[in-house]
Amino acid sequence: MIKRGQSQRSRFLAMLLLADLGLGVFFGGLAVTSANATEGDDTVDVQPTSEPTPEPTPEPTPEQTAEPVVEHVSRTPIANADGSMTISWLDTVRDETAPNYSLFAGLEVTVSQVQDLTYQAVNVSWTGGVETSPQQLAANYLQIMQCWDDGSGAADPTNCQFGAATGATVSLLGSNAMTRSLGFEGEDPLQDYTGIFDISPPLGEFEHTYSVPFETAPSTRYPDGESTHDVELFFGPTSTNEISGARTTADGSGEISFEIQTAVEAPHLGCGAEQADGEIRQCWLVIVPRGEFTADNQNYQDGVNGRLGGSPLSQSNWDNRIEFPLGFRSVVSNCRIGAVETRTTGNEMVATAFGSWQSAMCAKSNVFGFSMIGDSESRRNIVSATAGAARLAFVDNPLSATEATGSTLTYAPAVKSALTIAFNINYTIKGGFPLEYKEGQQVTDMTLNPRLVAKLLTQSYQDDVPGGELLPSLSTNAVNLRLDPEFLELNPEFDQFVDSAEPVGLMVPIGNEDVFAQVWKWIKADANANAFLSGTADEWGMVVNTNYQTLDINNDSTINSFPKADLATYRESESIPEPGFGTFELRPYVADLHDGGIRAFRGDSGTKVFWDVQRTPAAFVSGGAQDLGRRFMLTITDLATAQRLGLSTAKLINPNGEAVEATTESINSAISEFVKSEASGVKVSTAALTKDESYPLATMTYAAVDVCRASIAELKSYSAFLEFISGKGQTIGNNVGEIPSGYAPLDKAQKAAVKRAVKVINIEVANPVCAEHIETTTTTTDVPVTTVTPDDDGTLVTEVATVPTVTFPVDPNSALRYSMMSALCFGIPMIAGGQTLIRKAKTL
Amino acid sequence: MNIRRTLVKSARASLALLLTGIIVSGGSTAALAADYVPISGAGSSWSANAIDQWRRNVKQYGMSVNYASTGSVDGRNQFKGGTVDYGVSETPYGLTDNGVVDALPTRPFVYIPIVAGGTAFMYNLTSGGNRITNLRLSGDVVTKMFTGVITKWNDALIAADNPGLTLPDRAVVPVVRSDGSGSTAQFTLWMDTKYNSLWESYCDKVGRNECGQTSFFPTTSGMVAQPNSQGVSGYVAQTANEGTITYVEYSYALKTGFPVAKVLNDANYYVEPTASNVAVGLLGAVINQDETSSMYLTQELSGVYNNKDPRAYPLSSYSYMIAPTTEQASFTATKGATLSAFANYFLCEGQQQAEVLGYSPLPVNLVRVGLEQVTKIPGADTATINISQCNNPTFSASGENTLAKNAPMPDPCDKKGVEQCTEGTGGASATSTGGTTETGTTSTTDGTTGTGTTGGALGVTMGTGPTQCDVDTGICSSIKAVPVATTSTGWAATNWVILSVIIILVLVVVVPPVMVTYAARKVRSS
Repeated sequence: MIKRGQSQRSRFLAMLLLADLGLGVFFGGLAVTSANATEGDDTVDVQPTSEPTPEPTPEPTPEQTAEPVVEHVSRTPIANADGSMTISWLDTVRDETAPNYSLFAGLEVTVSQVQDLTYQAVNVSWTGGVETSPQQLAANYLQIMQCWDDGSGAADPTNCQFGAATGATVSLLGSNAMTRSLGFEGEDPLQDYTGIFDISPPLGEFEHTYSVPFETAPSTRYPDGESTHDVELFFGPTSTNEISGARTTADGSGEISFEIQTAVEAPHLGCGAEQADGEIRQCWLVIVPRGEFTADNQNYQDGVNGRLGGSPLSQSNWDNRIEFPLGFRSVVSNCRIGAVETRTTGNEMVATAFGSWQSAMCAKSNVFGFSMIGDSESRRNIVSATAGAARLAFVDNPLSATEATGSTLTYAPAVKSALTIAFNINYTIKGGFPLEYKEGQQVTDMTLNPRLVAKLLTQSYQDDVPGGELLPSLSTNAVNLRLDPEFLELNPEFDQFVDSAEPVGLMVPIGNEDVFAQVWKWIKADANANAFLSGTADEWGMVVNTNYQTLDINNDSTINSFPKADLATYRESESIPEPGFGTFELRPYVADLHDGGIRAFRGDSGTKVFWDVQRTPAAFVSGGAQDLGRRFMLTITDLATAQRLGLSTAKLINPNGEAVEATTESINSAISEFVKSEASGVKVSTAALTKDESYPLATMTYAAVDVCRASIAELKSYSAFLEFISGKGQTIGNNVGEIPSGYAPLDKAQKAAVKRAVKVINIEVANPVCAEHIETTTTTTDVPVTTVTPDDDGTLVTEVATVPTVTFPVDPNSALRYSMMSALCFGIPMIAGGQTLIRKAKTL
Repeated sequence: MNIRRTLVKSARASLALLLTGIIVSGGSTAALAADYVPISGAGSSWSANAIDQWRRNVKQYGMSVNYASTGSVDGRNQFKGGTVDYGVSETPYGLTDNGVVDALPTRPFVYIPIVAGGTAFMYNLTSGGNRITNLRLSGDVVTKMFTGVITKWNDALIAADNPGLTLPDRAVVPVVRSDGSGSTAQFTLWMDTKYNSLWESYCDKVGRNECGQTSFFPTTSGMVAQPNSQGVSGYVAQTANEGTITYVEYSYALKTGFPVAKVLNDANYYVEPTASNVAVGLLGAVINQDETSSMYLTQELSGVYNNKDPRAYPLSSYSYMIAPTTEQASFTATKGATLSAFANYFLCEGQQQAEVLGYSPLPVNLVRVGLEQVTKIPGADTATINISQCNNPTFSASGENTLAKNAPMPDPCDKKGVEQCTEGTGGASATSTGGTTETGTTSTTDGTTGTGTTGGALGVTMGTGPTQCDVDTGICSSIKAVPVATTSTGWAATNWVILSVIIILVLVVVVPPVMVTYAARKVRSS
């Protein structure tokens, strides 16, 4: 009995203890919470969210001003103030008795950019040369190639990407002039025909062949490089950037665009890659001038077909080279494939910039994926119920009030750029005309007004319709843009072009984007163009293609694509089956703006109108790219793409009648006139521009974030991303994370708008109000933001630390909370009831 | 408090240090870009919209991948000829087409499933000045339209599928591919399997005996042939080209903003080729599992055509990458390393994009065997190819295809009968046809909260759960099972704690007095 009483007493004592313990935990918990709260506040003050990770600033790329130590150099080349470099042939001491000496003596070559190179085009121009033989490339031309630098101070022929070209230009050259082949032993008195240059005869044959092998730049996989006579292992006709023959005009000058390749496009050259010693590999641009005499002093007219023979890599020819040291940006990527990507979608105006940002962000372990699906699909996507849909979209126009119903959206300006009409056109001038001296050079100046663009977009030129020259409805229309009197009034130089110089239409992309709608608005706002679309003839009797008149574009407020509405088909002969080719073979769509730019650069529109009976089954095929030096390409593309590819862009006539080219100033001027939209803080383009300097097709692209449908993890990524693009991400340059020229950086007010959006997101992260986040907190915080690489959590963890963790729903320590709660529930009744019960027990 | 704060601060500092260390070490492992070399491929334009997006995204990893969307036949031929590093095709080698056997390449290769999708019937039709966006077609009607049997849109058979539409008296203009195409092969195989007599009698009529499955559509007057997917979708998307209909991957309809026909399946529902409907459809596919077969991993689709699930889209299929398994000509182990890393990417992370683009992510069974194939590419970094690290959206713990499992049931108005849903389809999902005006907003309004967004015309009656409108498809359906994975994990983690706390509390409060009273009674009684 006593025993029992004692045991009961001790049980109650234990309960009392437990109650005390509960109280202790309760008060302790309160202490922790308040400590956390103050900590959080402190952090916000101390550590502003601008730079979440105290990472070391990346080492700036060592600026190697490579100074070639070529023997007998009389003047060391130095870069001009604008970043270009000019070298004269006589800057190197040359043999005055060589028969080609007088042909090369005046040659002076300029390369538009030689430092900070990335994958881009540079302009190579020259003066003081001798006119290239007409039609063929028989004599007097330049051969241009890119070579890797082995540290010897001069370019080496075995390091050059050359000898893989095929096609129209190559067929105009003399024997071996487009190859690495050295021909017969002794053909070049200075050439070594032994060792690596000697290819032993295969079994059963006797004759040795001689060729300059290609040696790859050393890389991780091949530390010593690889040497081969089979260059196809590394580069081929579609990937090489060599120019087998560039023409010099009658006045001795010439000009050509050259595609610079980095280690990403040409790993065998390794330009911009990190070498074993940590240095960034530099490269050479080599120009080998070809005169009238071969290596063994034979006149070109004595060669096969009366053309100059011999490889430019053969020693005597190679000795005549001019070489430019090329400095590259590092292409080293810190991003390891395999991480989980945070999804985004958007239009193409942002695509180039986003590519650079993506690389910078993933180096910070915040990996993004981008789906380029156009503005309207993107708008629908971010507010869709689809699981896994992106919640950040890059769009020019905001969601309409209807689309946005029920969604919490925030907008941040992302990029400013412009849509352009870019061209790659060479002067091809009629004999005896004043501009003949410019033959083969690139046209840099063109002006288009809204009506001319309307004509191009409505298949109103005869050449743009299958069998168009035979159609009565088009009989009063110009054959093509170049022959249109309205075009010639604005661009009189084109009057001197040969008749065969004609554009393959204006290339336009398939699909719809907000900026395409902007093109139509610009056209329709112009009285002449508007009347033209409605069927009014221009002053020269040209009328709109009736197929487009029926589209009633003037009254179609929703048009945001480029129709190809003419259904005509045509076949040249009865032997071709019905119906022949149609518009989609004659003027095919390009895949996107970038594709249009590339096609213009390469001179290949993808037109397929040649009937090839050799095929099974027979089909229409492409005639291939236009000849180098005889191109006439026009495309719609974005300014960044045009600039990277070295394409010139047309001046467009704005509402004030001014011809304006897309530049930072003209873009900013136009954007300053943008008008308010349905969404607060979002300004959209207008056709009613009033400033003289405003470019009509300037664009402002916003990042729209659906704050509530995005998960907390996504919001954190988006916030870090927007933070980045409001700062470093707006620098113009070629470094990772910078945006290339062709974009206009955001100004102070626009950057502030980005910061405001960041704040909105951060507030939601810190203190969620969206039902989605409150309900699913436990899951969203459980979602593995990143799984694969150990450094993946970096930025995000820091983000968590900067966010005040006072709010219950996002508090990861939910277990602690519940134990406090239980302690509370446990403790209070104990305090109240414990004493009474103990007393009662004692009475027993 | 101060100590606590110091502790927190020092923890933060060490975290920062740790991070710095990681970033620095990340820099020293560097030169990753140099490990990849450019690779190029050609083939299927059906798959091109997905491949182009992947190419764009792997640039951030220093990878340069080229692709020419020239059609499946060209892709197979180029791979065979050795001019490309990889090909992409909807159909395998070895099939007989128009009497010619498509011989296997001499270089050893494997098929790797690349992306799934639905071959959609995109069309351009208006009635009384309004665009029709909710057309429905049964399989035999589609076949008859593409074989010259049905020539007018107001044909009684089309009208029977579309009780809610007033169809115009306009010629049906089938738009087919002029090039050798995998889409054509998929479409003709379906017609050949399901509507053999219709298909073969058409082939007879146009002078091609026994077409069977063919990559080259035999044309007849009144038909238009256009090059590749861009050509056919671009052609139909011209406002002026009214009356046209073509077969093309769903993504092209999204891209051009045009509707697609809902196709009648074997459960008598008209369905759209959305990601989830394709995923359900493909559950019926039989995959060749014989590793010794030259057709290993290729698909046998009759189970898809006859799938009885009300959600199944009958013309669902997937395309293959054709990848070399030996070093040959210009295909080196270095290129193989890049190709396998790219394949690993698109089978896993890349599939996250599939639905947004208008495709359907590959299910786990195909990804698993696909990854096994990837390891056979010379130079493949097998250590990184691991299904457990594969972030594919269809994966679930149970091994079921999440997408197929959560696929919403079709709306009752999609059942064959007198009713017809009015919401738009494909790229025209924001535009409804006929019915009341408020339905237009229905499809664009988010429906997760289900706040009565259904217009009167929709007639959602199924289940009692919230109504969900898929913005991509415009389909509003009442969800019996809202994805509840989130709530269930929430219960497991915290609610048990709460429950047990409550029980303990009740016990603590109630038991002692009872015990005391009981003990007291015992004492007294003794």
